[in-house]
Formats: sequence, structure tokens, C-alpha cells
Amino acid sequence: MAAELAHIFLTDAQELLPPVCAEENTDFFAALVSRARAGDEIAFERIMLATEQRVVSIAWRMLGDRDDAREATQEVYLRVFKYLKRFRAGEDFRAWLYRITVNVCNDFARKRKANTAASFEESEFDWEGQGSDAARRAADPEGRALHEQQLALVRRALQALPAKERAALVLRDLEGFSTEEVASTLGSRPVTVRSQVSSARAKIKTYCDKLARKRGTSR
Amino acid sequence: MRIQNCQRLSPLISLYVAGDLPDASQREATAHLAICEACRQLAEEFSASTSLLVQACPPPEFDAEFYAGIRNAVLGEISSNRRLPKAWFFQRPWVYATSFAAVAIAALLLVQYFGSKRPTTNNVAGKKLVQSTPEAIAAASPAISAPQAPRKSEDPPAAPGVHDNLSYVLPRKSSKEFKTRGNRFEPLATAQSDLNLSAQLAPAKEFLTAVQSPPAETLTAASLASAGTAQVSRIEIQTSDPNIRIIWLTASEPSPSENTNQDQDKHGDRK
Repeated sequence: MAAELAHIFLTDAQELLPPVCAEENTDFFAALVSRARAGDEIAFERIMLATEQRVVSIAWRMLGDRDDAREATQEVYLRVFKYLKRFRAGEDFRAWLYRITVNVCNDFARKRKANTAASFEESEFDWEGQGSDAARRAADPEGRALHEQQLALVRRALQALPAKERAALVLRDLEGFSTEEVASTLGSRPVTVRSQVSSARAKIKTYCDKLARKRGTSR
Repeated sequence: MRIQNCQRLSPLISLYVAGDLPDASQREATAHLAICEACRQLAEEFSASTSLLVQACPPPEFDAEFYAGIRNAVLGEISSNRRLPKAWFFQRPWVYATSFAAVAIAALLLVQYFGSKRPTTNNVAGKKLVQSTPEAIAAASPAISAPQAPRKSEDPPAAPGVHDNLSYVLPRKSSKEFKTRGNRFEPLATAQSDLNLSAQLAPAKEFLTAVQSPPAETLTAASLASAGTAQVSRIEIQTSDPNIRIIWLTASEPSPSENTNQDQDKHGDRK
């Protein structure tokens, strides 16, 4: 019974994770990085081709806006090129790249929060084009609308998280990184990542529970 | 016991759902969920919220044009800003520090070289100074030896320089003006015009013209002596420009005190 429960929970969690993009191995990146350091633009373009989907995905999930994600991705690669000399041989290039991505996204989120009061309505509008399969499959228009509303609230909850917890949650639960990979990317310890992820999940759940209760009382 | 387990394990339920716990803790949580309905409910809620989160944030579905636009923008920015590693050399601070030090050293060397070397001809503000050494003046006219006559014969010959050069240049309007009181020179008030200075320098002009023209019989030492002038006054005017010095040689009347001394000397000789 206990084993079956654990299997169900773990299987569900793994199935929900997005498929990890087939990225090149470390040696491949090491060769490209050394060529790009020497001024080879083609090598740098190949690095972009191999990693841009993941970088865009992280940026888009952390920022919730298509234009912001595009600008952030451009800034990420400009920083990568600028600081390519500082990248130490033997280090995990992708972890270094994703760390820059997270930092750039945090900068963007901070600027956006300073400029505007984080217009969630716009971000929700942006997310609508990326409707989930479950919502698309929903035959009931009312149920579909309700589901879309729930998803919008979850996205709002994600955007409301502290920057570090949001980054840890995005990398762990949405991008499918292992705890160790998230720790390597964020430059922290696995224990810290577990704590951040646990806190973020609890906040998301609490947020969803409150909204569900409000909706229940309003009806 | 079960409540204690609930209190201890409930914070770990979210990690348990995603398989983040170590093996021992994972097994312990699994065993506890099998017997605890509340914790199992909590685990289901966490699983549902995680599922909802993943559904809410699916992978982006941008077209190839979106990614191509990013690549083009990045590569264009790199090319325009020359962020290529070729420019890395010029991004190092020590390059600029070394360049600055080299330029400073070169400037010091130049200043030292040209500062120690006195020019024989000065060209100030596009006007070439009229200069002549004592030998040249003596060759041009024996009268120039007259001003040197009052000097003591044992005086060593002065080094050729500004003091021994006879030069005259009209002062620029921006230069300070001076008036002469004997051998003392005091700067005049700024209200004094250039005409006053020109008027004061008029005798110098005439003298210079006389010196430069060979038949200047009236300015020879003999002529000066015959004219009753026992001394030749040497007046130097230093303008604001250090390269311009006006030297004015003129015959001066012996002062009464000097006459008295001379008379006393004569009386002493007689005694």
C-alpha cells in the first residue's frame, strides 16, 4: 500500500515534468567555448542554437512575458559572450549559463517591479496563448474557464514568490533539474535548494487553497 | 507517536511528493503515509498544486522566427559593439595604465630635453626677435664697445645670453606695461595705454636704429664721452613674456653725488 502510494506520487511528479531537451555533452560545449573565446562567431552561434530553448524557457517561466523573455535571453547571451573569458575550463558550462539566465531574469523582474506594479493582467494575457493540454481538452466551457482561472492564479502565485524561491522552483519543478543541478546552477547547497523548493511549494499550495476557499465562499 | 511523526514529516511532504528526500527519509515518509490519512491528504494536495503549476507554466511554444530574431540581435550587437575577444586586449585596465605611464615619461623627457636647450633665436608669436651678439655688434660698429667700457676690465666675459644680447621687440598689447624710474621698473596701472609705453620706448628705438647703422658716430663711446657723458646706463625691461627682454642702453648724466665723488677724487689726487 505504502509502496503503491509512493509510486503513484512519484510517477505523477515525474510525468508532469517537461521533457528535458537533448543537449550536447560537456566536451562538445568545451570545444565550442574555446573556439568562441578565440573569436569564432559561428561557434558562439552554435552554443546559442544548442541552449536557446532552455534559456528562453527559464526566462519565460520566471518573467511570464514573451517580450521580457526575449530581451532577457538577448542580455543573457551578450553577458555570456562578454564574460566568456572568465569561464573556467572544466566547469559545467550549462550550469554557468543558467546561472547567468537566473541573474538576468532577477534583474528584469526587479526593474519591472520598480517601473510598474507588476501588471499581472498583462502577464496573464501572455500566458493564455500557451494553454495547457488539459484546458484544451476540456469540453465543458465553464469547466475550461474555471481551469484557466486556476492556472492564472497559480502563475500569479509563482510571480509573487521571492526571487530565490521562484528560481529554485522553476528550475526544479518546471525545468526538471535535479536538486544537485539546481544547487550547482544557483551556486548554493542542495540543502538550501530543498528548503527553498519546499517553502515555495508550500506557498503555492497555500495560495491555491486560499483562492479555492474564497471561491467556495463567494458561491 | 503518530502525531509526533506527523509534526516531523509534514514539512517534508512537499519534498516527498517530488522525490527530493534521501532514501531513508523517503522510506519513512512512505510508511507514515500508509497509516496517516491526514498526511496522505496533504501529499495529494501538494501533488495537485505541483501538477497545477506545471500545467500553468508549460514549455514555451515559440516559432523558429522568435529564436532567429534573438540570435540575430545578439550577433548584431556583438559585431556592432565589438565585444569580440579581439577587443579584449583593449578592455584590460593595465593596457591603459601602461600607455598613460609611457606617455607621461615621454612628455617628461621632451620637457627636460627642450628645457635644457636654450634657443639661439626666439620666435615669439610669429615675430622673430632681433638679436645680436656683442661680437657681431662690435663688428658692425665699434660704438657697441662703448657701453662695455664702464665695466671693469677684469670682469669675466659674460656668457652669451639674454643679458648680453641686444634685443628689442615691441611689446604685445597683452603684455604688462612698465614705467622706468632710473633702473627700477614698476608695473603701471592697467589704465595706462600702450601709447605711453611706446613713447617711453621711442628713445630705445632710435638707439637701436643707431646701433644697427654703422655710421652711428654719435653713439660711440668716444662720442658719448665727448658729449660729456661719463656713464652709459643699461636699462633692462623684462616683459611678461620671459623670452622678451628689452635692453636699453642710454647715456646718462652724472649725478651730482658722483660729480662730488669725482671732485673729491680729483682733490685727493692733488693732495
